Amino acid sequence: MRFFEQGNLPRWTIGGIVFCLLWSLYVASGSQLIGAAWAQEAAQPQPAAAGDDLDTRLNREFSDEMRKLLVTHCGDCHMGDANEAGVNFEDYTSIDKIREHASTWEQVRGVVRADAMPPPEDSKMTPEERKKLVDWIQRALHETDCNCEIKTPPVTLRRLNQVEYDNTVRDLLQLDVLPSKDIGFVSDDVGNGFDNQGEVLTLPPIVMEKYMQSAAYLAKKAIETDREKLRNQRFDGIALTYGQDHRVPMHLAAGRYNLSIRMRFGDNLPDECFVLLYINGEKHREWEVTTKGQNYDVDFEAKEGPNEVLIAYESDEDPSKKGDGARRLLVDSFRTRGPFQGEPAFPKRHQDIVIAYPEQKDTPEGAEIGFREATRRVFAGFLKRAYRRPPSGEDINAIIRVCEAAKEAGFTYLESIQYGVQAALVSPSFLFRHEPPVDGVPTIDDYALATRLSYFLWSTMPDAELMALADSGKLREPEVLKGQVKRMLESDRSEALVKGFFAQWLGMRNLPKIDIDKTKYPGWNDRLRASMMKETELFCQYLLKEGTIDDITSADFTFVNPRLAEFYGVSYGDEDPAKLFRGRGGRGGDSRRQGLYEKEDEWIRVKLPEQRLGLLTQAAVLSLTSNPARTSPVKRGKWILESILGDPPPSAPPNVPTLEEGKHEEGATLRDRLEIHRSNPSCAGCHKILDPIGLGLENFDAIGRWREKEDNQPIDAKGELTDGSTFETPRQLVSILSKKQDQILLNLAQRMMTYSLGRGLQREDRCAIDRVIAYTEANNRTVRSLVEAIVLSGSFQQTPTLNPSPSLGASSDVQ
Amino acid sequence: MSNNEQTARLDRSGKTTSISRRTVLRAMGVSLALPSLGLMRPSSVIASEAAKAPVRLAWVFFPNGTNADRWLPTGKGKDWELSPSLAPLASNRNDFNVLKGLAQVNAQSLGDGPGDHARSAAAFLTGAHPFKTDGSKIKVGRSVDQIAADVYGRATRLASIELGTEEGRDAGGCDSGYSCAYSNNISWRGESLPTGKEISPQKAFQRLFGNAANQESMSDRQQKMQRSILDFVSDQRKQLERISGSEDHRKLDEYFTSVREIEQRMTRFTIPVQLPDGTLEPKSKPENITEHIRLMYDMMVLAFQTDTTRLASFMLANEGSNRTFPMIEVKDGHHSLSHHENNKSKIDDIAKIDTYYSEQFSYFLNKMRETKEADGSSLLDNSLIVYGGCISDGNRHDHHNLPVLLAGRGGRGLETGRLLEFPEYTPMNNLFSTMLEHIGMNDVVFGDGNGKITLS
Repeated sequence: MRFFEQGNLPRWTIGGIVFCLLWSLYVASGSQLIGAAWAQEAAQPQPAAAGDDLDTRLNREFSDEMRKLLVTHCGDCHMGDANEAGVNFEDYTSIDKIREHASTWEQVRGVVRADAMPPPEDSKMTPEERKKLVDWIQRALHETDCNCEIKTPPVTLRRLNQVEYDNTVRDLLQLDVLPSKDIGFVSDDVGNGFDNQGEVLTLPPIVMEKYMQSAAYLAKKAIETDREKLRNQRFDGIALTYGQDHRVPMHLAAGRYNLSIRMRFGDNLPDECFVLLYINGEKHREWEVTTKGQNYDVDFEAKEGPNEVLIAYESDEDPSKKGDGARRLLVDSFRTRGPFQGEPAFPKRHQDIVIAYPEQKDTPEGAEIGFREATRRVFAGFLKRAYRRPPSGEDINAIIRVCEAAKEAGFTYLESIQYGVQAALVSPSFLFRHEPPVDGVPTIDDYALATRLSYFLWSTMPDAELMALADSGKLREPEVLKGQVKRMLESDRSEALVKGFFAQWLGMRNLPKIDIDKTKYPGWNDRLRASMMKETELFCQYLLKEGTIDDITSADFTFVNPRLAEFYGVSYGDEDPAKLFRGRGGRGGDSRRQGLYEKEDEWIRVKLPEQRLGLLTQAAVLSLTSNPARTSPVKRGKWILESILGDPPPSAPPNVPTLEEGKHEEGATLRDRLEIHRSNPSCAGCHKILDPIGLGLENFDAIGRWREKEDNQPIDAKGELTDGSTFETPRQLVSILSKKQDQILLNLAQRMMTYSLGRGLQREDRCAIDRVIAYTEANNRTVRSLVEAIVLSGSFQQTPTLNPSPSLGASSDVQ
Repeated sequence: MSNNEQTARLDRSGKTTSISRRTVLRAMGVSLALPSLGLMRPSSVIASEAAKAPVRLAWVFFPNGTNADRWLPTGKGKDWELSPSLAPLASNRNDFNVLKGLAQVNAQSLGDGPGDHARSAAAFLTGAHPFKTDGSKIKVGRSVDQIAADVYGRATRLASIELGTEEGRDAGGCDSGYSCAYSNNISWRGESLPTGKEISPQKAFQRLFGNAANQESMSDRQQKMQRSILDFVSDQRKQLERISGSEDHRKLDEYFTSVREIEQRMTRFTIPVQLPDGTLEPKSKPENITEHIRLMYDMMVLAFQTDTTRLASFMLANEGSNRTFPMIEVKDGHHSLSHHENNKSKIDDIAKIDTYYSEQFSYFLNKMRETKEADGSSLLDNSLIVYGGCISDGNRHDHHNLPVLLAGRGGRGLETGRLLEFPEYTPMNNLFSTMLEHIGMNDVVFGDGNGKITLS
């Protein structure tokens, strides 16, 4: 994009169009910058007539019409000396000025549209005038001319956030640790609704301190310096129920080892269970394990490299007790001692990094390669993974200097490597996702693209396959990219997208933090909370793998464990979920369901009960939009408008006016109280949009349970939306909302694009979004095609979004 | 409060958590009775300032405004009544002044529409108006503690500490189109760079005392390697010169500035710290919010006592926090209650929360008063502690007539126990400039400040 800035070309001139055409030629000549997928959907170019571009038009309309409207209807309070709420329309003389203060103008648009301003009680502004002004602001802030869009906004250098950092070191070092928790990272700030936005991922000294600490901690774990210590190793145990088994991968040297397993059968059980031990796939031993904890020892011959120990709870003396939670094989630990002769093996993670030693003799002359060459080989490999691109000679030399300093200070070779790893982990090339410009081409290179893709879908560093594709220069081929999206979404790692994107989009990350008043909602407990979370996650996983946009509002199924099945009042497969409850008897039978259910962790897909539909009536959503001790129709309405429809109401004005207290009559329902709110003209505008939606969900209490009454008064869930459509039940309400599929898709596309880019969307992204939507429409509106479209977009690939493209609103033309 | 260990232990424990309080406090309880606390200070500091204990500055922030009718005391000078919400501070009455009339006008909308919570945290210590943004171009101004840290922080192991009890919200927005960075931070290292805060007492302890407390100190050659790594990092700038936008440069500047600060601190980190005998680091998670808040106050006392830092800020909760307070029977969230619409039970609940926070602050002041310096004065004698918020009435979102206490005598025997009323809309930054005088920074005017206030 720097190319364009340098050219300094006037954007909307003939020159610009010529330039744009040149670009088309460049692209058509086989550079493959733009996916074929776009080309086939694109409409013909419609060069705008010179001097009549969008901004000129908007400016003209502003001076001809909009300003008059503002003077007539708003001038008394917002012009001249009148400066109500700090808004003075005389400050705005051009469209550029308006765009500079976009948030003010969004608010203006919101309040004018909601009839909240000008104050309806004494305004003569007609509905047509309101619409005209609202539409104009919308266009001024968001529309852009896609006929020859030439610039894709840059992405600010992004620091890895906590999740990305944890995942990245897990993959880079093959360590099972969570440094953000172990070291205690300072929480990342959120911008544009997500925690991966470059501009808000700041790096104050305390964050750097934590990175330094973490790097030292990780380097110690990744690189072993005391080989003899590895002669004794310990692996974590596990609890197994009947029929389960457990694998323990071990990286060993060739030779004879002793394996000692400490285990017992349940607590105080009179009988015993049969346990089988397999080593490298072969049955090795059979034990009868009693309730008394003891060590079970065997010697075995290990092969060089990966070995596998498998322990299986094979059978039970009493098959009728299968599945009984008390009858568990409790394996405390696995310990290996060995090899009896020769040197023990370093763990795989260590060997994968330390691929060379100074003593090794593979120079042509047969001499030792020496310290410098050994470290060079180690870090040529390691840095490519750590920096997510081939390191420069200087990158490697800088690390070698650290290693040499360590050697001079008297550290061993392996300790020097440890320091080298530590240095790499605090390098900006590791901590930031650096996208160096490519000479002469306004885009990012294939490594940067692989990195974008990997952090978008997996929240971690690119794997070997992505790196190999970047090496070969094939990653940009649309079919290759699509294939990678498919592979990556099918992988378990795409759970990161559910926990990263979906959980933040829907606000699910706030669920663990909400306080529910347990005296008022005795059914609430942390297991229920966790189940709600899991349900929505599974639903999002379904969306991602096989669902469509429409499922969000019209799926008639969900995913439950027995706990949620009982909560929703549906059967769990063929079983009555209440009967699966295994919690404490006595003391009222644990009516709060704090104990466990049988099959607590087994999730099945079920048909929703009559009253519910789609995502909006899931318990998690209903709970996180409630207050601790009561429902909040306002929050629920706002959540749906904001998160699902992407059309948030204007925020409440500063200095919220108080309601006279006398109006709160005893016994007034929530609906009555909100009614009062709406009788106040300055509140009415927005609340007449918000409240009906929220009140329509009043049949669900603050934890999302169905109810017919509140405080012995029947719930009245009837309502009418501003467009005149009416409903009587929550389900009908959701059905009405489900007709707004275009809006839902647009919103989801924008939210996902924001997450994928790590920056807020700008007007220039509008054209890319149009294409994303057209592509998704053309692919049966599947969520997966939406992901694919984003990856193929110019905004994501950091290429200019090129003419030709369908103009705004024409996306439905694409078949 | 008595120095008797048993009593002290009960007091610190609060009502319900006496068993679960962490050993650090017990250990401190023991040592508090010892007179020879001078030993706990770094020798270099003792050598240079044998005569005079250093002045410490702290800022304690509470969110969501108050029930102003019950919070703001009435009267004048020495003749004033403790308000109901400040009742728990009765025994501390002579250790602080009530300051009325202060304002942070830059927390007002000034044309930016809603978002008073975000603006109030952002303006509290900066006196600056935050740029309204959900993501890009965050900007407010530098905060008083960090302005002080530039100069005054050079003498101690850590320039300043920043504490809190709540993680940043990590999903969705925080307040009406403002990035969460504004609601979650009062301390701003740079005008676009929040300092960040520690919310775990254990991690705060480790940060303060790290290798001094529980690890063998670094060997010379290990220290040498720390330096090599910092050198390596500083050199990395060359590698990244080919970056494009100005925003990218700003990000890298943040990075290299942080690296430089750590480099500068390296020498100071070798200053040995001797913790009070038997001090252990707090383990695991605090059991409840009372314990959490008190442990954080303990960390402040410990940091000041050992002269590990002389500057601290503490957010009792993030601005807009919707925390519930089951231990005082407040079951609705703080923020939603603060929009009370004059509903009586909600107003009462707000007052309960205000009172609860006063009780915790009293715990802190007691401890500051009990902890003696080498010269026999108390920590409180040598401190100035602002306790307040940046919204006066939560329902109205006013940012003038702010609730502010100023505790301690600032090392100059400042007269306390008074109610001082300043002209309405006196910039709070004028108070901050006055505080900076106490640490020898005489002519600092920042944010909307336009002078100083008279405290004598």
